[in-house]
Amino acid sequence: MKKFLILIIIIFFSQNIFADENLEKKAREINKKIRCVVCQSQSIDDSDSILARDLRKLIKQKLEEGQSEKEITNYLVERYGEFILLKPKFNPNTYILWLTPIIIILFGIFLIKGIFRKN
Amino acid sequence: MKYITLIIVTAFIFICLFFGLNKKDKTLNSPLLNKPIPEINLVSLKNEKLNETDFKKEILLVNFFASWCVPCIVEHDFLFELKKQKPIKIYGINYKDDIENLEIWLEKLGNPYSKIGIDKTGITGINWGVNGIPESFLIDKNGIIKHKINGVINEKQIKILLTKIESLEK
Repeated sequence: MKKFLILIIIIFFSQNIFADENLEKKAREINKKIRCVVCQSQSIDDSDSILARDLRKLIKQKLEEGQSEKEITNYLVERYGEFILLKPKFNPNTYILWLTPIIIILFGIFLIKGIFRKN
Repeated sequence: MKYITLIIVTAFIFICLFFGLNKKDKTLNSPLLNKPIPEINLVSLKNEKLNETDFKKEILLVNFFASWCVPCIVEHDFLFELKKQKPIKIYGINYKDDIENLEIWLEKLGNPYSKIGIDKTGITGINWGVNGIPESFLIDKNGIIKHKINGVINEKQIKILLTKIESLEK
């Protein structure tokens, strides 16, 4: 009976530990995608600024409340704008940002092709 | 032909960089502009409540500040100046501060605020999209954010605020 009780206690606590670990892992995943708005190109995961610390705490709290990553990022974008996302979304405001490298690469390929053809 | 295309593309990139880097207004517009005020539920310095109901009667200014914030000292005199030129209510949100230090600070510099909400955890700051204090928000009679000032309110900002307030009063 005693052994059985100990086993139940171990299972109960290990479940909690795994749940905590998963939540921590998820929180860090989100933290890495969120820009520290008061730092120079750092995520809140890398930064030790007061705001980054508060945002990390808030993200963990929201995950504990059962909110999804999308809900949390939407909450932050509504307040800080898309600037807070380290990887901006693909939308009319960011078309130039995402498409310019492709256009430049294509232009380069055509240019090189042209040079070779001439030679 | 090859060189002409190359020159055109290089010129285009330089023109983009020239205008992009010379842009005077480098402040990011808050996505909260023209939207209702975010959630606020604070206890004030005098143990009263400061919540959404306080925001739907008149045009007012919300100022995030702290006693540890050096630029806030510079701004403080300008808040009095603004009130002198236009007697509007200013709600202060005391951001991550020590109450004792705040009380000493107010005693020394004076208190331009109608109410001071205590945001000990900084959650209200995040709710309002605050990057770094001081930051201020102009709210209209319907509780809509009409203007945001990132940084110190100075003479220039007072002029802008007065024009905005005037247009909101019409």
